[in-house]
Amino acid sequence: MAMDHDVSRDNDELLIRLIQEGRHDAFAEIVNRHAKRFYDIAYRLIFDKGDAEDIVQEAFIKLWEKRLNWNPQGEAKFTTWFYRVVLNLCIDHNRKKRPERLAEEMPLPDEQRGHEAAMEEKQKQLLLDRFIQELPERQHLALNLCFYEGISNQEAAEILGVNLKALQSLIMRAKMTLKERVKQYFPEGTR
Amino acid sequence: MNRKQFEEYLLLYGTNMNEWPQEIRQAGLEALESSAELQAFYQDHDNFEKLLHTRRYEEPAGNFAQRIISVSSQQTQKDPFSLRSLIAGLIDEFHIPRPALALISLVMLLALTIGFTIGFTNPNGSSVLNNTEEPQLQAFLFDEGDVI
Repeated sequence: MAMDHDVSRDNDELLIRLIQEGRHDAFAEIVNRHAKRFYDIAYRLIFDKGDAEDIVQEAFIKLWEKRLNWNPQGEAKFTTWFYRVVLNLCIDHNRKKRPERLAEEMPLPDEQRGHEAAMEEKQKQLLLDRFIQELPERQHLALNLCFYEGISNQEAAEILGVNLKALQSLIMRAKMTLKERVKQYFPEGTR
Repeated sequence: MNRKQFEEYLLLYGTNMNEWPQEIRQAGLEALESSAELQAFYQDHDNFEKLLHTRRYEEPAGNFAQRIISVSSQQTQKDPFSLRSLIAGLIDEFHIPRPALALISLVMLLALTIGFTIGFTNPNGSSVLNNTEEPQLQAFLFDEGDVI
């Protein structure tokens, strides 16, 4: 394929083939097209802007360095495959990181009730982050992929390597758990 | 659609019922319209989803994608080793014409064959050199006047 070929209209799978031929412009196109979406999921999984950027950068650099090792025939869509790469890096990151202690940062529900009217938005967000972080790993991933990233249930199931029913069960359990915790800490609801 | 099913679908597909699968959307809308209990549940769930959307988020740095591209352009590709690419690389590097390369290979192969033939026809390893070297060394040492 000629070097002056405009890659901006190529689909992801074609871009990957060009990347395997060593075309850096194709790599740049893939990065420009998808860096933000992979950053979003990484950020929502690890709650740190710098770390999320580093993880996505690492994943893309691996893609470029090991481009010859990827076999597009055996894989699904590029994004499905790359989500898996990013999620695995995030999971590794979270497992290495020391778990933060809940009790030091959060008021107990009984203490909290009296001050609820004055509770700041930031505190609410911290609590919400904490509730989500405390979900079992697969529920956490399913919720982020489907609810926050708007990925279809079918694609999310492929990314997580589970069947559709299992994925739907993960989403429902995640939301039920969160709803209970939200009610426990925000008894007046979210009105 | 009963209450349990409605609640499950609400958890699964969210409060934007236009995004529910087509085969259950109409039944869901009708159930919602006909039941005050479901409307209360719907409202409660809507508040819950709104709360979930207030979750903290930080945009990546403005030059984020550019940074990745720039770092990757400094990386060298680590191709797996292959004899074919090595030979191709040598040809490119030294501009050796293919017939010349074939001739060099043939000469090297011939030299190897001769070497093996000599080795096999003289299996005990004795050589003319071994027999002659010792006296030469003694003579040399004698000439230099060393004491052994």
